[in-house]
Amino acid sequence: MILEGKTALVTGGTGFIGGRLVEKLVLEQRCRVRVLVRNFAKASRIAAFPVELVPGAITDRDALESAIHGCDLVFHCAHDFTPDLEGQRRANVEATRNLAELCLEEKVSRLVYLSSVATYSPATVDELTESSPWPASEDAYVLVKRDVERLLRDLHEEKGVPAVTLQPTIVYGPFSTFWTLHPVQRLLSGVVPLVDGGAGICNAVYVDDLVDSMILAAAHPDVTGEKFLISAEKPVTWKMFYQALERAIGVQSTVEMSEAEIRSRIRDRERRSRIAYRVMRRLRSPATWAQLGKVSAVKAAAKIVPDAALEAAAKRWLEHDSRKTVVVDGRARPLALPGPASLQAEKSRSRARIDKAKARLGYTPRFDLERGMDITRRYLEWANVTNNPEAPSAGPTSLLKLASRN
Amino acid sequence: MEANGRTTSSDRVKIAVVGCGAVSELRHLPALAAGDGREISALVDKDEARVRRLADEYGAQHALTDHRELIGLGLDGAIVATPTNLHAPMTIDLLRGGLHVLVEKPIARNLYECDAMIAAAQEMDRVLAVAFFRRFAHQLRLTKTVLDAGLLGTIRSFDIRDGYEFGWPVKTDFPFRREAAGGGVLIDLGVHVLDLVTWWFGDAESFEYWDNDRGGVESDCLLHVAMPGGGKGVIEFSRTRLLRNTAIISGDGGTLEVDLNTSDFILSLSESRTGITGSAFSGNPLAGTNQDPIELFTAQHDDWLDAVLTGGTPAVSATEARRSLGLVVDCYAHRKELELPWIETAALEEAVR
Repeated sequence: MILEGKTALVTGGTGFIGGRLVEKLVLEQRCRVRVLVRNFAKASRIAAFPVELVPGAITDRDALESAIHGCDLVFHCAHDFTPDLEGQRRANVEATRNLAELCLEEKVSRLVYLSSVATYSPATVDELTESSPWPASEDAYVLVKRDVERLLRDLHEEKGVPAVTLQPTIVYGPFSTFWTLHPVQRLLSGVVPLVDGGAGICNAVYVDDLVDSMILAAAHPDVTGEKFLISAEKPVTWKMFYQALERAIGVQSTVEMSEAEIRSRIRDRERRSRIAYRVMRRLRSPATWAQLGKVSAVKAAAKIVPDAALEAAAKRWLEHDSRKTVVVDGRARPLALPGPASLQAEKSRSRARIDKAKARLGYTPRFDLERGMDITRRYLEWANVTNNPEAPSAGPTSLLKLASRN
Repeated sequence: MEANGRTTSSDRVKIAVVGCGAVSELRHLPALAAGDGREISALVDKDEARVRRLADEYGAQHALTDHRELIGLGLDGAIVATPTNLHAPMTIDLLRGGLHVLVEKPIARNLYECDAMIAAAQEMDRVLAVAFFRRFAHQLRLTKTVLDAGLLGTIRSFDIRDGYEFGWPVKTDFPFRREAAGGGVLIDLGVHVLDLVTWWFGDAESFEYWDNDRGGVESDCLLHVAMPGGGKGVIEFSRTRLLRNTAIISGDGGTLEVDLNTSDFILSLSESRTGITGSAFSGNPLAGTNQDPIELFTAQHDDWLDAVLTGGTPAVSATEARRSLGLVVDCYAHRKELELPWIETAALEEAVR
C-alpha cells in the first residue's frame, strides 16, 4: 500500500484504464479518490466505490481547479477525442497545461500522464525503447499525444512540474473497448482476417499490469520528467492474441489474408458506403421526391415506405456484397474488416522493451497472455459477450434470442 | 383542439410536473401533451432557466422553483419526478395541499418514508399512484393473463435478466449517491422488475442477494428468490452490461419467454406440444404491437387520472408499490458481496496486507 492515505484525482476515471485504476486505488491502496466526470451516464462502475465524483470536463479549467484542490496525486488518463487535429490538439494541450499549472499551485507531488506507445507509430524498428524515433505521422491521436508529452517534458524542465509519462502498448482486459470488446464483437459477428496470417508482433499488456505501473510511477521518488514504455514481459503474435480471444468466447472466426487484399476490400467497402450514402441523401431530399412524386405509383409507395425501411434496404445492399464475405468450410460468412488503427497495429514488427520501467520503477509484470486472457474470459462471460451458452449471465436457453438470431 | 374531440380548457384536468430532469423532459411532458383531457398547468424545478424553457415549450402557465407554490393554484394533480430523497417530503406536502399525486419509482428510499406517504394519501383521501410504466406494456400484461389463467400450471422457476450500460441522460449525479437515490441499480432499475414479480407471482417467501457495492451504490446485483408455491427465481440487474432483458418462466404446463422492452412473446405448452410466437397487443389487434415509451407513459397517466376521476384504485397504488420496495429494502439489509471476475480476492488480500 505505497499510496495509503493519499488523495488522488483521476481524469478519465469513467473509462477502461481509469476505471480499473480507481478500483485499485480504493481497494488495494486505500486512497481517497476523486474523479472528474464529464458524463455521469458512464459513472456506474466507479460509483460502486466511495469516490467523490466532481462534474466537469478536462477542458473546463474551473472544474479542474475544484477537482484538484487538496489532492496529493493526479492521474491524467482522459483524452479529448475532438475529431479534427487542431481541435484535439488545443483541447488536450490546454487541458494538460492547466492541470500541470494547478499541480504546482496545489503542491501535488506527482502527475502521472497516461500517454501511448502510439507516439512511436508507425514504428519500423525491431526493438522499441523510450529513445526510439517518432516517425512522420498524420494521425491526430499520435500527433496530439506527442505534443502533450513534449509539453510535460518542457514544463518539468522549466517549472519543475512533477510529471511522469507512461506509454502503454496494447492494453486489454475487462471493459477494454478497443482491444477487447471491439475485437470480440468482430469475432462474434463474422470472419476476422488476420494481416499476413497474424505474424505481426502484439505487445499486449493486461490492464492490471499497467495500473500497477501507474501506482509505482506515482510513488517512486526519483522518476519525474521520465517516460516509460509499459508492456508485458514478452510480446506475442497477433495470431496468438486473436486465438486467445477466440478461445475466451468459444468461436473460431479468424482467417489469414494478405494486407493488400484487406486494404482492397476496405477500399471497396468505403466506396460502397459512399454510394449508399449518396443514394440515401438523394432519397431524403425533398427535391427528389418532388420529381418522383409526379409518378403516382411512387407517390403512393413513398407514403408507405418509412425511412427505416429505406435504411434497412441500403444496409442489406451493403452487406450483400461478395467482397464483404469469405467462404469458410463451404459457407459464405460476413467479413469483419479491421479499422485503420487495428490494421496498422497488426502489421507491427516492433517488440516493446520494458527494461527501463523494470530498472527505474521496479515494474514487474504479473500477467502473461494466458493469465490475462483467463480473467478476460470470465469478464466476457459475466458481461454476456460470449458464444458460450454455459455463461452464468446467460441463464436458461432463450428462445427469443435464438429466434432473433435466425 | 375542440375540433379533435378534446374537452375545453376549463374541463381539463390541471396537472403540475415537479422536477424537470430527464424523465420529465423525455417522457412525462411529451406523454401529457399527447394525452386527452389534461393540461400542463405548472412546472417546478430548482433550475429556473430550465423550468422557464420547458414551461414555454409546453405552454404551462406557471414556472416555479418551489413545489409549495403549487398549493392554492386550483390544480388537480402533480407528477413528482425529483431525486428519490425528495419524493416523500414533496409528495406529502402536495397531498396535504389537496392534490392527487403520481410519484416516480421508487416511491421512496425506505419504508418509513413510504408509510408516511401512504398515511398522508389516506388522511387526505387523495390518489397516490406510483410510476411503474411497465405495468402498461402489452407483453407484460399478457404474461399476467397467461399466469392467472394457469396455462403454465404450477410455476417451478423463472429467470429474469435486466441490464444495460447505463445511458440515461441524468442531469445530476443523484442516481450515484445513496443518500439521494436510496441505492443503486436494484432500487432504480430493479424495482421495476420486482414490481412485475410481485404482481405476477406474489411476495417472495425468502431470498438471497448479492451486489458489488463497495461503499458507493451497486451497479450490478443478483437475487435468488423462493416464491409461494415453491417456484424459484433468479433475477439479475446491471448498469454496466447488456443482459438478455427477457423473463423466462417455466411451470409444469409449459414455458413462457417475454421481452421486457418489446412486445415479443413466446409461449410453449408441454402437453399439447403447441405454442405461439409473436408480438403481444392490448385492445385492437390491428392497432399495432409496438409501444413507444411515450405511449406507455400516456397509458400510465390515463390510469392515474382515471382513478382520480372515478375514485378507483390505480394499477400501482402506494400500498402496492410498498411490496416491491419492501423486498428492495430487505435485500440491502441482508446483502452479500458479489464477486467480480476481474477483482482477484487473493491478490487483493495480499496487496492490502
